[in-house]
Amino acid sequence: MTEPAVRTASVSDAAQHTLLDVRGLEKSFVRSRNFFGRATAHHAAVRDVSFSLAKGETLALVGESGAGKSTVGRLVLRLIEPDAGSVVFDGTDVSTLDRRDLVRFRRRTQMIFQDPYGSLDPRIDVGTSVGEPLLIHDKLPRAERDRRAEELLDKVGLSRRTAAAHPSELSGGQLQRVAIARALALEPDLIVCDEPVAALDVSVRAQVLNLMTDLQEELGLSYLFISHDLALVEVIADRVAVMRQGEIVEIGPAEQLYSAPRHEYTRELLAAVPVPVPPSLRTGRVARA
Amino acid sequence: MVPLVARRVLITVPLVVVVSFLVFLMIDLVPGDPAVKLAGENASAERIEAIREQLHLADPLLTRYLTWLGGSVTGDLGRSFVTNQEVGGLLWTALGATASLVLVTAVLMVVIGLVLGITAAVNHGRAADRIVVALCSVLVATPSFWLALLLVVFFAVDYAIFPAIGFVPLTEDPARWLYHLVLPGLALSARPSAELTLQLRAALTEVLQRDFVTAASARGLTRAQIVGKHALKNAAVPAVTVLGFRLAEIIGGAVVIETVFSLPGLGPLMVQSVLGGDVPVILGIVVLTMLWVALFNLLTDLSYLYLNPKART
Amino acid sequence: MTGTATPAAARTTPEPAAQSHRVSTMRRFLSDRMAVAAVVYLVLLILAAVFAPVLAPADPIAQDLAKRLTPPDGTYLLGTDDLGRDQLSRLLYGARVSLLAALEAVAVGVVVGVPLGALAGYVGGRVDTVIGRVMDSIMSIPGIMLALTAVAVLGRDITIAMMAIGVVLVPQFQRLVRASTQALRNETFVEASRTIGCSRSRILLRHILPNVLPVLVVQMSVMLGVAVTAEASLSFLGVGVQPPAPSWGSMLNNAVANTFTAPYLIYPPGLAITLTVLALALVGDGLRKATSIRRRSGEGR
Repeated sequence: MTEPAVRTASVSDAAQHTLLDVRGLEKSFVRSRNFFGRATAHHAAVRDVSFSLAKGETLALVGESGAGKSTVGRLVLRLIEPDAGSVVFDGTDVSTLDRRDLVRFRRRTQMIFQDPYGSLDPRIDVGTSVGEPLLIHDKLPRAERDRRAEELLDKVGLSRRTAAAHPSELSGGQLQRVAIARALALEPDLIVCDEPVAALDVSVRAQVLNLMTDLQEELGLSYLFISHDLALVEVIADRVAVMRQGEIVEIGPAEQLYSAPRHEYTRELLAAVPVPVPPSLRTGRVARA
Repeated sequence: MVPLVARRVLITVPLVVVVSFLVFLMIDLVPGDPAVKLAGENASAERIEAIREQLHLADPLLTRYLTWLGGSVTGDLGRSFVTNQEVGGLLWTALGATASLVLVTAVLMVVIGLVLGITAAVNHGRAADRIVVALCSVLVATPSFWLALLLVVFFAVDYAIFPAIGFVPLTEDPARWLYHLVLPGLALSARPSAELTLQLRAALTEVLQRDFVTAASARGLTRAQIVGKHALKNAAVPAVTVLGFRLAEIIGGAVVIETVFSLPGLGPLMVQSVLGGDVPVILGIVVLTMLWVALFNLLTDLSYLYLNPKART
Repeated sequence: MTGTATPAAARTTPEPAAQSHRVSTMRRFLSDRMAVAAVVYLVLLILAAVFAPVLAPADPIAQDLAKRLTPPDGTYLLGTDDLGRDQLSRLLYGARVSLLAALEAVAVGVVVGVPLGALAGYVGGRVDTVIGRVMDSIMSIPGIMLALTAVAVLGRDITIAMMAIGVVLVPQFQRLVRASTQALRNETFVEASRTIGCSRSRILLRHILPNVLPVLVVQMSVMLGVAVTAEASLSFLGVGVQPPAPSWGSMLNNAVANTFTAPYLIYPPGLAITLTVLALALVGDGLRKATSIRRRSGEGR
């Protein structure tokens, strides 16, 4: 499944540089076990998935729940091990990394999760959570971490005083901003966003998406954006991959996929988008509030 | 059913082997002469020598253990150091008294649990309910042997209604058998009864608030009928589980209660054997205890299966 | 910590501040009157145990055969036993022995059970199965029996007996920690910790165990009660605390021989045990209720 490297107006020349290259990824999970704990049935979650992602680009993985999108995201970050296939990140096969190199890989890749209420340790204050990556990778002293954490919170549009708060004291939107701040702490190249706004109120969604696109422009981030919401994807993605039952059925530039879907399933999904995307949003980027 | 039995056997057999081996190993590992240690303080030289001989302490550990294990499988658990009686016979006699006590305790548990549990559930939120809950909370915290002493002081010393000590076998005189077991049974059943009561109360209260109960009372059924016909059936599964597991572990509590009332059960036999370093008897009781626990756990699992057909897979 | 997140930029919606959950957990616990009363009792008990040498009117092991079996009066507030020893003094010193013995057993349970539970819960698979089978096995040995056997083989000593009780408590802690760890392992924040590069040990020690702590404290409280009862039972049987040292159980052992002549001897130690076990259960209950209502408080998205 190869297609020409796609560039949209907003993506710079850096897009030509391939950051992530995924080939023939396979993963199945055990569905049932017998009395002795031996697996008796498997369920193929991801089948022969291939795609690439350029520096500064946003690739959206769309599909219904259970299509294997999140599994792909976790395979890319090697949170789970694939059964077959390869993930090449910046020229290095991720599956060959030893423990030390894996830690180095972790500082260049981050993930933002769907559930903002669950993605921070409830017993640790926000500032410490945001600064934790700096402790693990750079062994920065406490004061320095706290200072950086406040800067990062400021960068994502939160008060510096938020650092002292506990997750239970913040709203979903605020927590997702904290999660973004934490993901940015190590200045990564790739962020896998697993339904980052699905749990948020519609009014807060646009704000968080705006923040994400602003940060992308400023820092040259690449996003692997996982979502079930085609309307949402259209406004943020440069390219879109449609997944069904573990396979990518169609992949291409966002405009092309929305205007002239090639696969039957893509057409079905588009037909199911409840509200037509307003023309003002169709131009490519989120309308400024 | 077969997997349940197999599972219990798979847990119990290795357990018996490992624990009994550990006992042998510990005897070996204790610094100093095991025979002197086992004989206890102020033991005569002959007694120490007798222990040394009976334990075959001159043989290697594994030989000694396998000899014992081989004997036990064929039903020969050896002889007591102290009385020279066959351990099997001693255990069998003691088991009679212990089983009697547990039988009376089980009946008391069910009766007390049902009466108090239903009373509390039917009077949910009222004074009777709160009294039952408070009583049970206190009973759960009360050590059974202290309760036993209180019962002795009240019923045996102050009023002389029940005997403070002694045991009459069931085969000899059923009435006097029961007469001697009332106080020990009450003491031993207090804590598990309280737990059973709280369990039944919770289950019944929950069932009584469900829609079909409202519908039943709308049809003109009395509360008693509703409890008897519908609610108890629904509350039976968790209650039987509590009952079964408590009867499995009650063998530990029985040791103490039997000692208070001088019942000739496994408890006093164990305590005497511990104080006298009577290893063959201790080993026998330990094995018997593990079999007891396994049997009651198995019975609990099976009754759960029987009462809850959905669990049959 | 007032958690006011005043927006720095105009695009952030201002959102209501919430009370710190630590403060509200404390408040919920304090509103439970039974639990507070139990804490007060336990604090007094610990003080009594610590300051027993100051508080006790007499030497707990000094015998005075002339005063044997004196019922409670002005001099001997709780009377004397068959060796003429002051019961109040023995009760106070007994608190020390009984509480320390219970702590020993619970310490064994926690030190062995918590790591095994965290390991089984976090690693899962075969490790979990093997540990689980061992725990099942331990659970099918009544604690008293194990303690009696240990004492018979290893020597008549309260520490040995309480270590055996501790072994029986191990599965209680292992199962709890395993279940909590398993639940937490699937929480997003644990996966998030992996994505930022946390090692396994850091995830377990910094992120999982602190979140297990509330349930662990509840369990410790309840298990202390179990251990207090176990110590009393063993000393009552004469295989725990050895004479002349006082413990609540050994006092009852002494009292039982004099049930007919001096029934007053059985009340104070038994009451002390019952109240202590009850108080530990109530504190556990209060803590459970106060800590269980937590998280997911942010409805205002």
